[in-house]
Amino acid sequence: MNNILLTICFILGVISLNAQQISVQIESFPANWNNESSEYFYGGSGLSIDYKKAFDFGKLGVGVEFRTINWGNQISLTIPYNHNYVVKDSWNISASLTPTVGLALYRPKSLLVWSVEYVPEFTWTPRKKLEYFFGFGMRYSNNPAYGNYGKINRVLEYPIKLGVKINLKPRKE
Amino acid sequence: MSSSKISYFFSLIILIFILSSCSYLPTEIDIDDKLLIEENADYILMTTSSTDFDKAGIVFYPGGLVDPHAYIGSLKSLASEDDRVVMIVKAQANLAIINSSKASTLINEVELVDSWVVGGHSLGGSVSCIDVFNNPNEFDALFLLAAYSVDDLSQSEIPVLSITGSNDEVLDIEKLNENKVNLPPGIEINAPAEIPQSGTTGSTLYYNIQGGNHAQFGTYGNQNGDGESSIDTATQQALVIEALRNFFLSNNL
Repeated sequence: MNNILLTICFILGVISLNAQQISVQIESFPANWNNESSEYFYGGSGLSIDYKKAFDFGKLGVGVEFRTINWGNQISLTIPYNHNYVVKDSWNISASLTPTVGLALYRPKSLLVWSVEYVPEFTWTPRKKLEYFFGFGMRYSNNPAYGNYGKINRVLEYPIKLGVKINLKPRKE
Repeated sequence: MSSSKISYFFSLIILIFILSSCSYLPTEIDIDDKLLIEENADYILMTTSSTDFDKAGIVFYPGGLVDPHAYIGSLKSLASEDDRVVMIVKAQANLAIINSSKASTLINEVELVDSWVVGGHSLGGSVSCIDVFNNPNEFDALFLLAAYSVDDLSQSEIPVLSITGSNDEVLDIEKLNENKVNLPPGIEINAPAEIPQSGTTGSTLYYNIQGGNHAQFGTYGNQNGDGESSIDTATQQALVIEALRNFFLSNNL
């Protein structure tokens, strides 16, 4: 566990030195499918932070997410790719494609989890330094080894995200 | 605030979350072929082809940060041998306190059962008391495994069974004793056979299993900070089941 924490701190530290934008977001995960049934359920909630850098093809980043999910609690490394579709003076519409890999937190040993999500976002940009955004999309999560303990180890959720983006280097007008 | 300060701040928050968020996984158990286990996002349901829906169903809140599957082993005989419906509640983050009225809501999904007994282990036991406090008409009895009530149920008209282990070092005994005023008047028993046969409504039966500890109420191995048990898990759980059976029989459940 200490190795995991050190790795996460190291990655965040290194990435933050080169980051152009930090996003912090709270997340909620309504859901309607798992590998046992198709019905509405509340998948959980979470908090994530990521650091992004702009490239010609869009913004690419690395971050961490802590969340609750049907099988308990988990922490994941996230690799968001964000692409703008519409850019106006005070708002923009973009979408993020984010694969994640992480650990479902258990004793005596944690289990590997992964997911992939696609979230369209509306971002309000009233100031150069700060931006606020709302996103709603779709996420598939899998906890393969949990199948040895419980029946539900795959879920399809609809993440709702609210967050703030801090531009470390103010965007160009 | 610089980016490195923000990153350290969030790393600290994440570290705290991680250290306080690991749940105990269940250890391996044998499942009777007769047992039917259904599962959805909200609960695990144990029945058999011969389940008697006229008997009271059991709805159970797991202990804090314990995977709900860790109670299949300890409660399965109530379904497979006693022909009862047994429902284990799943809670957000494996913390029942986040969903403290979930049992009273979920029991409506099993329409064939009219009468329900709610119980729980540790934090789950205290949450079952909260549920009874908030929904007094939903349950016909309450049982606590290594738990106490922080809500005043002293005037409650339902029978209560409180079971502890003498070697439990996770349960705060001082708080357990302080909070006995929140349950109906107590009767100490030393063995399941001492449970009165003529009903126990309006009283709390206290049964302390000699040699039992905290973790052996479930099936998830050793728990940090717990005392060492001098009886094995199967023995402790058999005593719990025997006490529950006599308790149900006494109260026509």
